[in-house]
Formats: sequence, structure tokens, C-alpha cells
Amino acid sequence: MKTDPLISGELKEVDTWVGKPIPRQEDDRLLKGKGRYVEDITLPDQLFAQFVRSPHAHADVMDIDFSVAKALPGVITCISAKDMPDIGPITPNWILPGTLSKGRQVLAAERVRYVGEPVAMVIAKSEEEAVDAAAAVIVRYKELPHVLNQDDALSENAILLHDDIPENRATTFRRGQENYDEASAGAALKLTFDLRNQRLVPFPLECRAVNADFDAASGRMTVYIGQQLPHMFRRMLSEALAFPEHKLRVVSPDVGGGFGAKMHFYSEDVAIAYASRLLGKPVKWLERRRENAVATSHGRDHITTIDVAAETDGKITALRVRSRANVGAYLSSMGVGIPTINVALFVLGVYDIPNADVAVDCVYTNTPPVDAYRGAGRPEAAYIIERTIDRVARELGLDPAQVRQRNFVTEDQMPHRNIVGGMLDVGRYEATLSRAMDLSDYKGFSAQKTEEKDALLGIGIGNYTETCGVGPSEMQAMIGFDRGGYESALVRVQSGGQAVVMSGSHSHGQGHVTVYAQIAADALGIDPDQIEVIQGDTNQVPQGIGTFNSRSIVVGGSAVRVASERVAKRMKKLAAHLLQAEEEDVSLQEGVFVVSNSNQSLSFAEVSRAAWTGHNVPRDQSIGLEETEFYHPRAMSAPYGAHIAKVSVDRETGEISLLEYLAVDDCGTVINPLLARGQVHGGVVQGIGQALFEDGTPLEDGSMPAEQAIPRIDAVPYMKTEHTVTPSWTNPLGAKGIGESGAIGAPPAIVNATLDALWPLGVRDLEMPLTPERVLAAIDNAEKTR
Amino acid sequence: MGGSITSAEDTVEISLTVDSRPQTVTVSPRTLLIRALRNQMNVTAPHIGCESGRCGACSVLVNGQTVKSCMMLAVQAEGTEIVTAQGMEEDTIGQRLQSAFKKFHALQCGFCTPGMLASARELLRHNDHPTEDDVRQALRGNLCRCTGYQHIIEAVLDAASVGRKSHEN
Repeated sequence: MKTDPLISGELKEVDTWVGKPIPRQEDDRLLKGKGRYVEDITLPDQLFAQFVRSPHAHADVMDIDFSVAKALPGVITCISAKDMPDIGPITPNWILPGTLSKGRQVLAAERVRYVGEPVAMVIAKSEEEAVDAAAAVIVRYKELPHVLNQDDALSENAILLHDDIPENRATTFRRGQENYDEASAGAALKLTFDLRNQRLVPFPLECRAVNADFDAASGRMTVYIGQQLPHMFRRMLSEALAFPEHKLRVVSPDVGGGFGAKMHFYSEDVAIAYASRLLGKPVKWLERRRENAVATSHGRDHITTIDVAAETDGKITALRVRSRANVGAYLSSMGVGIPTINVALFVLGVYDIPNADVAVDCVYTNTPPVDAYRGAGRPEAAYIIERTIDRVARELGLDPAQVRQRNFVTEDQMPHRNIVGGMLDVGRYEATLSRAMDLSDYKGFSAQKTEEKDALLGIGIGNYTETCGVGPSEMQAMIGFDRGGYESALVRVQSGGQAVVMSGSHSHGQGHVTVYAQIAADALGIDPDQIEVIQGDTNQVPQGIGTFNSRSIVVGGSAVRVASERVAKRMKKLAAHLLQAEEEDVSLQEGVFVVSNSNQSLSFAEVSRAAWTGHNVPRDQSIGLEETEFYHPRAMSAPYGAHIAKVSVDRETGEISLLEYLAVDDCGTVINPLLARGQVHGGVVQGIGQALFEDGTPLEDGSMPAEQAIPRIDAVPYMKTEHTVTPSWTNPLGAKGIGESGAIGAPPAIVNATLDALWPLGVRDLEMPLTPERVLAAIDNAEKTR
Repeated sequence: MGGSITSAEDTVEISLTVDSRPQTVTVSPRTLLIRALRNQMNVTAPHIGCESGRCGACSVLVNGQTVKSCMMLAVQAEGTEIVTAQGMEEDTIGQRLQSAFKKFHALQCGFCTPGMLASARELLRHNDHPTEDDVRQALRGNLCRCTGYQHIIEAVLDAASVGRKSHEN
């Protein structure tokens, strides 16, 4: 295998730490098997919990009999909703104004609404005893009819999930003008078609885990949990249990992947903490894989109807989008925000479309709740517009790349607020697509396709954008998103001359420790290996928000940069005082503060030590070298990219071979090209999973398929990556997010490539995942109707 | 949800070597090797990802062969020699893999990594000149949800190449 250079495209060799592809500080520990995940933490007197879950998609809970379970060895107690009358349903974290909100029940009281909903909790001395006892709990149910699909749930005679919510509709969100009919009148091309963005199971390799440890003597509780948002989790748990927040400590150690699913606030989290407070002992729950498929929030699940009008040259003149989003039986934390704001505002993609009318219905069904999963609404939006562009091009007999170029928002239109309210900060869409077309030999491949007609070759583009780096807080308040839009950083130079950086964001695999050290190193003038980055402990780190929405570098990294610069400035001022020189004559050179035109100097460590002894710190300067920044952005940034997939389709088996995958991404300033490439690869493979293999749609009885088709190492192609670099003005680093791009760009690129291969056969649509069965059926149907 | 596990009163004492350390523990006949390793021997390098043999996060080397330790009973490990990522520093192939994984950014969350290392080490012990396809075949029992695998393939190929160069010298 050839290894592509990390510095290519518009990336340049740099003599700073930011921009260097250095390996991760995190790795040594993890490679030696010394990672510390929640499951690895077992405390004295540890108790274990197991949940009893509903086998029915919809039923009344008639009776729960703990008598057999309680008599089993090792069982401490069994708990149902009746035993915790003071605990209400969980309040979602993002409730769009006007939403009819139903949060998750901690334990189902009278009715269960999806397969896997927790009904009771058993606490025992060992995990095995807890499992045995949970199996011995007898629950009597009265089954009710259920509805799984959002279109069925909206239909006239559908059963109601919640008696007080008509039509099972949590909310309907509208953007744009309701003018499609007028705007599309007289258009050369008018099309109507449906798309489905299937439900997915996030599937981090580490399932969820919680270990809550209440100490009755001090009234304090420590909760160990793999959580992307430690401080937000602390507040949410404090509010759910009416537990004083200042006595609550949340520790999120190594997190074994999250992809969004580990930022949500779950029933089990509340139940475990409740049990620990009740029993005065540590209670641990380890979600297992089968349980994960129902207990952890899902992603996507949109059905969309699109109307589009275009001129003969491919210019799109009007778009109407009607999307029905399945939110599951209850609203998970961001359950109603993701399918609305994160879809509707970004559904015009990187295109200047003059007329648009977008509406999204959020619908309750008897399925596990749906929430943010890598991309979180932007994959749905990108899929809608990128499939639409391709469809328009093919119907008009035009090149899909040209149609994109015809519709791009141009550089001179930036910053651009589109008519549905989405904001694009910077973008050179033409340059990025051109680069991708050159690298993938777009024109050459088209020629090859014509020559080798029988090979069923196809090439497809996914030209995504994804607004990220969420903030500011005032905007979040307007949309009912009950989180701050800032991020914290505390930077402290210790007396030995090394530095500590604390951030309220939290890695679940990305490599924050390495990139934050790079950012701080440039500002402080020391090497990254002299910097320790601390995250994931609310008793150490200043109040923060957390990691989601590709916001860590953009918002959290900016906080690190600003705080580090302030420390550096204070340090220089102190050095000048100690050296009895003017500040402007002092500079830091290779770890030594020197005075120009003088041979006086002090080492970085000497100045650090002086700052903390306080023996000679002027009264108008503070003791020590420590600064805290709550970086609060004024706007979000919009990374984008052009992804190109090449496929061949086997006419006999229906199998799709991914011949090549190219990603040219523009995430602005790249802090570490090695880690950025890792993010792109990981995201792309999750996107490949969605396009080709994965389907989290429940079975007819509402249960989840026993296995999820997560891509294996032999199922992924060679991925070539490159960057164009258009720095964002929205933050001091010029950065934009990169964590979610792959998962957003890949599905439309792959489906468009497959349709490119099959269009000559008459295939007009394919539904993800593109399984061999579906591909064969589509070809057969097309041939029959020709 | 969750099946019943038959209670077993009887326990069995087993002796084995884990990462060069002799261990003797008392287990129930139903105890899986992964649980005995993690809960009774404090060997936490292998992880529980699925308990059904699909993900490979629990992979360890048992007498040199990759075994998914959630698919083996602890009692079956009597008398065996087990190596996990924790003990891999002691052998050259293991070290080469660990440093190549770091160099190529072949891990993100790190949860699958100990299992990946076990499978990769078995491959390189038998094949010092693997092709890309050999690596894909050897690691197809190990799921990774973070990296997209490409850096893992590059790392394993690099570790093999470093090994060959050291033999030439």
C-alpha cells in the first residue's frame, strides 16, 4: 500500500507546532493496554446493576413481581418506578419552541413504548448475580398495537403513543417561503421524488458504562461515566435527582468511542445514581452489546419528499423539501433539534437556490429514541441536496459536476446567509471541487466508463457542507437548546516551567490532548511534550460544555489559544520586571527570555518559578501564571468538501465494489494533518457503512436486528485525502471542524456513483443501504419497465 | 432481554501464565476467559465489546494463537500461556507494532487496539512479508469504529517492513 504524503494540496510545511503531523501523546498508554475506561474502575464494596427491559414495542405494565429475584443469592434490592416516585421523566436538552415534548421515563411506570425500554433495575453483589436476578423478575404486560414507521404514525387512524399528543407529532419546523408552485411555474424541469435516510445504530466499540459512588458521610457523589459532555452531564444529573451540583463530581476517563451517542442523558444514568444514593454504595452498570442496540440513542431516520425545479442549464430555481423524522418513543436529549435545525438550515448545501420551502415533521413512534449521531442532521441535509443535484443533472443529460458549479454560492457572496437561515462563513467551492476532480481523474474515468460499458462503472460526488462549532449562547437560547455556546480553557504554567491545559471539551478518541498541546505550545513558546492536557473531570476542569458538533478545536481550541496567549503575555511582563528591562526589549528565544542589546537572560523555568514564589512579583501583576478563558464565538463556521467515489456494480450478484474514495476537505487551518486524516477516514467509513451495509430499522415486532453490519477491514477501499485551506474568520485559529465530514460526504458520493453506473440501465433510485438484493431488484425492475 | 445464566455452585481452580506472570484463580465453570482475566487477574488490556465473538476487542494470544477471549471458558485456559497488549512490550514484534500504531495514528479511542495488536502479532509471527490483503484477512475479525482501518493497515505493513530490515542488518 502506498502511503500518501500528509502535507499535500494547500497544506504547507510549517515551523510552528500548529500544522505539524505529530503522533499522539495519548497513544503510549493505550497501546500498552493501560487505557482506563469506566469498566476498568471497580471500587470497594462495588455493587452491580442490571436492567429489566420491555420485550414489547407497546404495552401496559400490569404487574412487576420481584419475589423470585429478591430471593436469589447476592441480590441487594430490586427497584421499579413505584419505588422512585420523586423521579420524573428526563427533560430533553434541546426543545424547539412549540414542541410537544415527552422525555424518557427513567423506569417505565404504567406503559412501555419501545422494545428495550427499562422497566426495573436489579442490584446485586456481582454482575453475574445481577444478570441472573434480572432474568427472574416477572413482569406481566398487556400488549397494545404499535407503530414503527413515521409515515404510518402520521396516518389518520394511527394509534397514539402519548394520549395528549395528537397525530404523534412532536413538532413541525418550517423554513423558507411557501412559494414553490409559483416559483417553479414554467421551469424546464420539474421533478418529485422520495428519499430515505435510514436509521443507524452508532455502535461505539465500548458500550455505555456508569459507576456512581455516593458517600453518605460527606454527601458527595462521584459518577464515572464515558461522557462527551462531563459538565453538562453533571448539571443534568443534578437537576434530575435534585442533587446539589456542587457536591457532584463527574469523571469521564478514557472513552471508547462515542460518535454523539455518549453525549445524551439516559434513563440508566439517573437510575444508577439514584441507586447509589439509596444504598450508600457504588453501583456500576455495564451496558452489553445487545442492550446497546436498544438502550443507546439511534441516528438519522428521515423520509423525505423533494420537489425541485430547474432550467435547462441545470440552474435550480426552486426547491421544496418535506421531511418526516422519526424521533422514537420519547425525545432524547437533542431529539427534536437535530432533525429540524440541523437539517432544514443546511438543506441548500453549498448552493445558491433562490426559492426554498422546507418543513420537517418530528414524529413519535414505538422505537428507541433517535438523536445526534456523527453528522447529526447534516448527513440527512447533504444527502437530500446532493442526491437532488445529481438527479437534476441526469434528467437534463448534464454532467453532475457542471450542475454543481452552476449552482455554487460564489466567493464574492461570502459570508452568505441563505433563504432558509443557514450561514456559510467562507468557501471556495469551485476550487475544492476542481481539485477533487483533478485528483480523481474525473474526466478520464468518464471516458473509461464509456469504453467499458459492460463493467457498470460509476463515479459520484458528495459536495457537503456542515455548519459546526456551536455557539453563541444567545442563538442557542432562541432555538431552545439548553446548553452554553462557549468552551473553557484553563492554562497554567507551573513553577517548573511545564504547563497544564484544562479544557471543558472531552476526547472520546479524537486526540484533544495532542492538538491542544500543539496550540498551547505555539503561544507559550515551549514544546508540546512539556504540556499536560487534562479533561473529563469536573472537579479539575473549569465549567465547560463538551465535545459535539465538531466544535472542540473551533471553540475549545480557541479558548486554549486565547488563555495561552494571556499567560504568555503575563510571563513576558514579569520577565521584563525581573530583568529590569522594557517589555518590548524582551523576547523568548528557545526557552530563554533575553533582552535585546544586553547579555541578561532568564530561563522560562526561572520566570515560572518566580511567578509562583511571589517573592518579586509587582503588586499590579497577579501571583502565578494562570488564565481561564471562556471562549464565546459570535458565529459558527461551515467546513465543506468534495468527496468522489468510484464504484463498479456486479450485474450478476448486485454487489458494489468501491474502487476508489477521494476526500478533499476544507476545514480551514489544520492543526495536525495526521489526526485530521484519521478523522476523515473514520467518518468516511461510517458513511460507507450507511451507504452500503448498515440498517438500524427495527424488525416488525419492534425489536432490533441481532447484529449491525458495521464495516470490517476487508470492506473498505483505499481512501485518498487532501485539503484545501480556507481559514474561517469566526475564530482566532481560522479552524473549522473535521470530525463529522466523512460521515456526511460519503453516503451521497457512493449512492450517486452507483446511480451513475446504473442510470443507463434505467435505474432512477436506490435506497440505502445499497445491499446486493436491492441493487439486483432495482436493475430487474428497470429492465422490466423499459 | 438478557438470558438467564445457569447458576453453578461448583468452582474450579485454574493455573495459567498471563503476560509472563503465573496466575492461579478460582472460577465458576461458566466464567468466560475475558471475565476471569479482567475481573480476577486485573488484566484489563482486552476489552468486552460484544461477548459474541464479532468485534475482537477481547482478542488475546493463547499459546501464540489469537483467541477471542469472550468465546473461551476460563477453565479451558488451564495450563496455557496468554499474552495481551500489556505483555507485548516484552517481544520485538509487539514493540514494533506498538510503535508503528503510534507513528501511523492507527488508534483513536483505543478500545479495539489491544485486540488488533493480538491479531496483528499473530500474523507477523507467521508472515514477515504480508501483503495488504494478508493484513485485511488477518484483522477481519477485529472491528474498529474510529479509524476507518487504513492507518491500521499501514501500521502493520510498516511493522513488518521494520522487522525485515532488522533481519537484514
